[in-house]
Amino acid sequence: MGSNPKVFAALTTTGMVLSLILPASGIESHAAGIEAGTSTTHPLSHRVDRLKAKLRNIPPPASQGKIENIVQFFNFSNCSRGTWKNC
Amino acid sequence: MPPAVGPIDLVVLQSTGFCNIDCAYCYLPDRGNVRQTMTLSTVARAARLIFESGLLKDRLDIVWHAGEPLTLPPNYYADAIELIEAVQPAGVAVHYGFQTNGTLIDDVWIDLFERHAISVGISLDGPRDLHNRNRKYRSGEGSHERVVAGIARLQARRYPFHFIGVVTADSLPRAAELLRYYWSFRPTSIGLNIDELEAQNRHSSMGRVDTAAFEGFITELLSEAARQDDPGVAIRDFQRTMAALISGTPEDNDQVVPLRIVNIAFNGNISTFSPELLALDSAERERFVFGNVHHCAALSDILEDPRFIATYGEIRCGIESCSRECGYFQYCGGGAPVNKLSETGALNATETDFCRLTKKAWVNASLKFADTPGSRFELTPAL
Repeated sequence: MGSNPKVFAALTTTGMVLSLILPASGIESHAAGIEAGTSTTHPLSHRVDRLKAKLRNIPPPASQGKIENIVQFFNFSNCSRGTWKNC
Repeated sequence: MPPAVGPIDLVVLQSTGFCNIDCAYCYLPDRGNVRQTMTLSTVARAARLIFESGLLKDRLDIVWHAGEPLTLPPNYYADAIELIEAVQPAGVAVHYGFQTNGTLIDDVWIDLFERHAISVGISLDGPRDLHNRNRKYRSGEGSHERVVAGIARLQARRYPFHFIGVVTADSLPRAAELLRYYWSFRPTSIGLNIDELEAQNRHSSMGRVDTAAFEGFITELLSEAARQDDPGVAIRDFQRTMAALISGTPEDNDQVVPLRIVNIAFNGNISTFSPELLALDSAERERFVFGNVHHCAALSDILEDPRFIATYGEIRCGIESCSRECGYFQYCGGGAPVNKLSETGALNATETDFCRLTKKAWVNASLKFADTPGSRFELTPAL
């Protein structure tokens, strides 16, 4: 395993790969962090806002500048093929 | 006319209702009936109605499913695609897909896949014992060996494929093993459905599973995915959840908007909303047959059918209740009509086990995962 365990999260409209990078200290501490976390005590909308804030803080690729409109930037129409379970 | 119609994202063509295996949790009726085959004239008529509907974007997905599509010969699909292409308008890219049990894949099939860049989804439930517990031939023999042989053919030709598996209660303690097993084949993505109460499947091992337990399964699965080597494992349900959380547009629920999904049964019957509505018992199924390709002058005719109007009214009522009662509505859009009906007997219901496990648990687990101390997102160019 490399030093940066990650999960493939999405493709962006510009063809970039969005990955969630987990702590280099390893998944074990990550799993423990989840268990110990208090995130579920917050309202869902607050947790989603925190996720979006985290996405806005991604260092943007040099060619693209700061991500101003997160929904537009992560317009998933190029990778999300509906919700039906057999696609 | 409903407030929102289309655009058509997906057409599900039931080329055959027959399946060469007999899965314990299958939702299809009459799957042992070899005579349920869609004629090529039905394919041609369906294509014409769809392409003349005025409801298309620049891309259309056509998936052959609901029965094992590979029990018909490759030439059937070559002919069908030729008929579709004959009426396909310029400016609409059609992408074809098969969802298959994989047991019949050989080089002739792969020739067809290659010729038309067909997306191939393989139904695989995991290692041999998990898979064979439910996915059996009518003789009782498990299908795992022949599925793996089909996958080996694809790998030998370097043809890409994705997996869709069904999670049962037996899978829950084995999330990490399941992930490693799937990833050992290097699929393009892994999608995980659940054993759900739906149409002909009237018993689900997952009904007794609480949301927290399933979140634990997802967390272990995602953790194991992160442990794998580059280029990174694509888990369909994590990606869809992220997309829903970020965009937060409930109207993206394609199972509740008329004609986002167009379902054509082997005999030309037309439905929309959840494709599995056409798999209900025959008497109940009739409620969801809104027309037939051989009798409709235009696809939009189905919107005037009294059965459509009644169905849509009930679905809308359920969505309005979901929007009032459920904190997850923004990221779901009102669930899946067929699961509401199969679990509660009503289309206007709200929470189901299906949405509890496939929506709420994924949202909870994905948010917790993304919120892990020290985690961060990264953008990199696609390979």
